[in-house]
Amino acid sequence: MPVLTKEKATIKRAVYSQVRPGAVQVKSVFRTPKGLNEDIVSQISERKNEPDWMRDLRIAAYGIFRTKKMPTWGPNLSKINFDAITYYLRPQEREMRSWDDVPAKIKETFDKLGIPQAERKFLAGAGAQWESEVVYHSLQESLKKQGVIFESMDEGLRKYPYLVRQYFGKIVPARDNKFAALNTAAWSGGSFVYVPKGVSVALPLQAYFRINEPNMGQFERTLIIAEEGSSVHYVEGCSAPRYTKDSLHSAVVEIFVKKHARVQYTTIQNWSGNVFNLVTKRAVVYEGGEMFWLDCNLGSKITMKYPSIILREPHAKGEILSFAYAGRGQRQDAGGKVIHCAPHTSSTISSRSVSNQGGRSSYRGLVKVAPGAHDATVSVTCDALMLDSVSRSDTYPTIDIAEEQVSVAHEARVNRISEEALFYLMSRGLSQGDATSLLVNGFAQAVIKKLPMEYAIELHRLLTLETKGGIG
Amino acid sequence: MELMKKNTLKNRYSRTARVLVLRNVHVSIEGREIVAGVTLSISPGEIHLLMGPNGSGKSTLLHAVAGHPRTTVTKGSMTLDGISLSKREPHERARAGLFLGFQQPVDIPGVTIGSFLRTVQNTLRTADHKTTISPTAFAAQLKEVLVHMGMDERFGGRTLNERLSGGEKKRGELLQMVVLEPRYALLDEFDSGLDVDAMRQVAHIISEQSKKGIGFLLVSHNPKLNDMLPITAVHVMGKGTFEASGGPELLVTIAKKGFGP
Repeated sequence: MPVLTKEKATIKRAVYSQVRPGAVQVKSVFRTPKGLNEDIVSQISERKNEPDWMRDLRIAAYGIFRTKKMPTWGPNLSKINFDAITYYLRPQEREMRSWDDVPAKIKETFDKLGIPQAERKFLAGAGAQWESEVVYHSLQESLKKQGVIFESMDEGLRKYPYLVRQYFGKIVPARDNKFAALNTAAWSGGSFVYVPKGVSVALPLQAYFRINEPNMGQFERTLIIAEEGSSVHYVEGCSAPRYTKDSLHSAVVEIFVKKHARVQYTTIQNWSGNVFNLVTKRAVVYEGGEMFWLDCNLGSKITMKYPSIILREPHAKGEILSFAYAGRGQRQDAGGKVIHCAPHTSSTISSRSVSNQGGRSSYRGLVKVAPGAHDATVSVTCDALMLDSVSRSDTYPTIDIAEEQVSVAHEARVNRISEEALFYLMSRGLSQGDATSLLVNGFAQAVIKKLPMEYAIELHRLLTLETKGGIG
Repeated sequence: MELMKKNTLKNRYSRTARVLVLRNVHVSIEGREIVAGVTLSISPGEIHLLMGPNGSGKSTLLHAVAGHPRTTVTKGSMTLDGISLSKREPHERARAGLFLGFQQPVDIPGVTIGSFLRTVQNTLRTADHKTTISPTAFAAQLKEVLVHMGMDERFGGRTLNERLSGGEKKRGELLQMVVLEPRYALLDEFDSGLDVDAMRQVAHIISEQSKKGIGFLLVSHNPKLNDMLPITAVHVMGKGTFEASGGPELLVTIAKKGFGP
């Protein structure tokens, strides 16, 4: 409840709706047949009128995808049926700059999710992706004039091919892992952000990703380049309606944080329980730069996501704050990775997870201090909250230090809702469900307070909905 | 229909006599009897003082009245304004008008006192079919109460019990009571750890609230309370029963002789 004490809390509609909107019937203008092969990969590229180098990159990546083994060190992914998935679906001919031009059914859903309202209220720019394509995109004029680029990845490639070619796949190459290869082969949509030297984008840029059809694959690709001394906050939200058939969301995000630049990347993901969410996110930070991943994962069937930071030059800083909620039938395998490659670099990883009704959440993290990265500072904290005895929480921390003069702190705690705390709150008049919600929100407060107000309210609301039923 | 709707726990019994009654209450924890037959009745506005050595069952009695899950009432009855409490959940007892001030209130990380109290107050109001209070209206109300109680106006922004001093915790419990306006308040060692000035302020608030009609059961080790509070009755507990009950004059004996026979 804490976030609601401020006056702004009366905003009726937060960034996401009061309810999870359901699926709607939308005609597509083009879709590939189910499954993926070299021909379909070429079709996607042709349909997008891409330069040859991108088509070749896709085809090579497809080859890597076919030969790479599934990761076996984490959650069981054997239920993914790659042949049942639609890899590319275009809902409309082109991207719109005005909400009025977006097809009515799509607009209705985004309206319910509060997307245009949010843009008017507190965003510098907004994008909305429906299945494979971005259907709407906008950026404040004043930022355009300062040279800021905020486009869909496809538009970015069309308008700034030289920039994209210079950076695309340089932090997360296709061979990185099977799902990075798949994304590189089938990518569509996502955001391209470029912030010129010294420019600060004060308000967040937001992209919203929506899967609507069953058995859909969404492979957005995001590339953010923050030039020297610049700063930007990018926010992404995700949701999908509930189906009995599984969907696959497999994004790749690459971020370049140049000298003394600062990038914050905030995610509030609320996928429905039938989405496999397997995402590779990585940032490289140059001298004195700062990267902050704020990653909130609710929903999905299985999430595997470990936002990573490579501290390449001296005095670079990285922070990963991740929050996960695993409810019935859910597996949240999240955490973070930091590689210290230079002296005087510092990193903080804090992970908070809540497991309820048999859900399982895991912290999986890697901190590596390379030879020569002396005077590095590392702090890792994992807090897990278990709401019942059938839920599960694990930590898989790996800390690999090749330097002597390094400060490392690691803490892990498992918390349970205590009978005393419940009784205390209930003795004031709260039901067990309300008392549990309050305790969970209090536990998440460390994350909630770092979110922009509208997202804080939303996360609070989602957690209250998830836990109000009480324990067990 | 409208009538039915308004038939909430509080209203349903408002016609019956207003009194908190414990009749021959026996309480066990994990099969061991801690309270062995206690009878007590507190009317609105009365202040009852419960004294006795540590381990005599005072806290257990209070917890049992509030419905702590580890306490089992094996015998006897407890009624609040005619409502039987025994089979009700703790929150239902609170909604019927009961308040328990804890000797050692639990830390609730990440939750501020102000937001907590507003949540609780709105929950109680909703249960009572009343409209909820907006954050701004509540903030004004809370500030007024804090000023009245001689507390820091920013106290509402502190985390619930976490990193509060012993004295702050006690006053925090009292603050919750004043804001939530129960009918009966059971305050467990409400005065331990308070300095003389704080003690006077707390005593002042309690007598003021008793004049408003709240019935009190106070657990304390201080036999000089009578100087500060209009005590109605004193009960001395030992080994699970009341060894003596009487008026405030009993305090004089206790001050001289202690709890011994």
